[in-house]
Amino acid sequence: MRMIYQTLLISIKLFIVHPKALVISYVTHPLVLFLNIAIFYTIYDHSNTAMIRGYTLTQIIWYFNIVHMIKILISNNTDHRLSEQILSGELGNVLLRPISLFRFEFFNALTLRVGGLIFEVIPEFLIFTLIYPPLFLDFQSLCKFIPVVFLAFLIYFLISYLVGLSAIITQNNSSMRRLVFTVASILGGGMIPLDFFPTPLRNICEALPFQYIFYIPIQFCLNRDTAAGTDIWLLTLSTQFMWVVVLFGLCLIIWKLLMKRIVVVGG
Amino acid sequence: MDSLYGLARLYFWNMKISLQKMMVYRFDFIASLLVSILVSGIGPYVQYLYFTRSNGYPGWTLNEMFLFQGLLLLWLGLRDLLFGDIRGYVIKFIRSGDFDKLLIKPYSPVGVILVSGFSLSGIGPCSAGMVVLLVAWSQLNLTLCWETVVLLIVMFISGLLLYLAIIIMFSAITIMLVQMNGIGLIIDRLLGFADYPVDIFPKAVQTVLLTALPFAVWTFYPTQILLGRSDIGMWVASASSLIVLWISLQCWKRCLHHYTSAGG
Repeated sequence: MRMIYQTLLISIKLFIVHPKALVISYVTHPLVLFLNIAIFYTIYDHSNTAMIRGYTLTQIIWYFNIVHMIKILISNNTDHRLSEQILSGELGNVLLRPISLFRFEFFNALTLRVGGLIFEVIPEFLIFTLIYPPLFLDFQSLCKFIPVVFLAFLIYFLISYLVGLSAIITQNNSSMRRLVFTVASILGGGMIPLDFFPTPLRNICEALPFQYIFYIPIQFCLNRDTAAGTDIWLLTLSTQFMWVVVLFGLCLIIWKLLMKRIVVVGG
Repeated sequence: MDSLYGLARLYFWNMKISLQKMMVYRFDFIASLLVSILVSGIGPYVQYLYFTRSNGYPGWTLNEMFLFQGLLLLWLGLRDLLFGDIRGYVIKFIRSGDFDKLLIKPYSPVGVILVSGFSLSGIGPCSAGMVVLLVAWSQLNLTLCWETVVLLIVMFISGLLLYLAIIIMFSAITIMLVQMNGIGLIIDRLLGFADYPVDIFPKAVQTVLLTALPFAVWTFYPTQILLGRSDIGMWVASASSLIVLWISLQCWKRCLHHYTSAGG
């Protein structure tokens, strides 16, 4: 607990140490919103329709706002840090710590995101709401969204950790990082709602965990019919939990296998 | 003139070192090229999905949009190839305090920064851009004449100058603020406006994209030139790029004057 508290303090200090940059980001972040408003207003106006693929104009604009917020809430640099530690040889020292590498990275990612929630997501949500009110949102949908997005964070962290472990074989895993992040983003609904995909591609997305990072949590926040009802919410939570268990199991197995062949050189 | 020759030599040295560094991890190097090509294809596919699921953008057909996407990828690729690593380089140098070293080099600090950005990762978008461009070209039955080539070269040079201006401005702000994660994201978001045809935005935004932030020179006007739809705004955007570069250099000089070392 003491370690979580200390890393949380460091994470908060990291955010407030450069207040000018933080203030500028609040002023300029709505640019994302303005860009989305301009583009989708044109598309909807040109199509002369109130709904495209089941999304109203407000919902589609907020879809991308929520993608932006989810990216802040889940992002971690575990994959990059592990590669850097392997390249520099620092991993040797890390393995000697009284806390396991997995737990250390997890607490680090978790506390960093708490800082992201306090200093980025909440202020941005309020600013976005003032500029373009999310008329679809109610208290219930927000309450459903919170645990779903927490499990999305866990899924993404475990994927990042697995990508990080790949550096034990490849040393530099930058291409792997880019590939996985892009695949997660496109097949998870981070670039375009999955409803726009053709059926075969949609079926592939449903067999993968990525849609539980972006697309599914967003459905709850947007209060869409596809996410209505407690049973769907519970089913989503249990499916996300299953993916967490599967990925965690993979992390344990791969860690054990890789520890047999790890060589710490660096320098 | 000597200084420019020296900076050109420095650029080629940096290019050589960058290539050698990438070749140390050959698996990652080859994989990153493949990934880069794969990732670059996503943008046109997303646009295709929007176009087929709605009526698209007013005044643009699907093939014209592919032409726009092809030129966009080509521009992004060339930009990354020539200057892709500069932002990371600037942040690293200023945060660690190593920027002080640039101040005692025989060339101007901004010159040294601008010649340090070669990144081979730009090859991916370049290749994907060429493929998309050729497909769109054949679908639209386009032809090329000397006048078009000259106009495209003017737009390319204007685009390069504008991008240099943005990098110089970014470096100037980094000197003042040190912590730049958020600002880097903001610049990316701003540049996002260049990923769409200028004429789909409201009039006020169009004016900004032709004057204060003339992103139209990167992809919009080259596409319009190829489609035979260029207008006077092309020259406005081109002249604005020069003005933005001059402003950014003045801003750089001012920020450099106030620079206090960081890190250490």
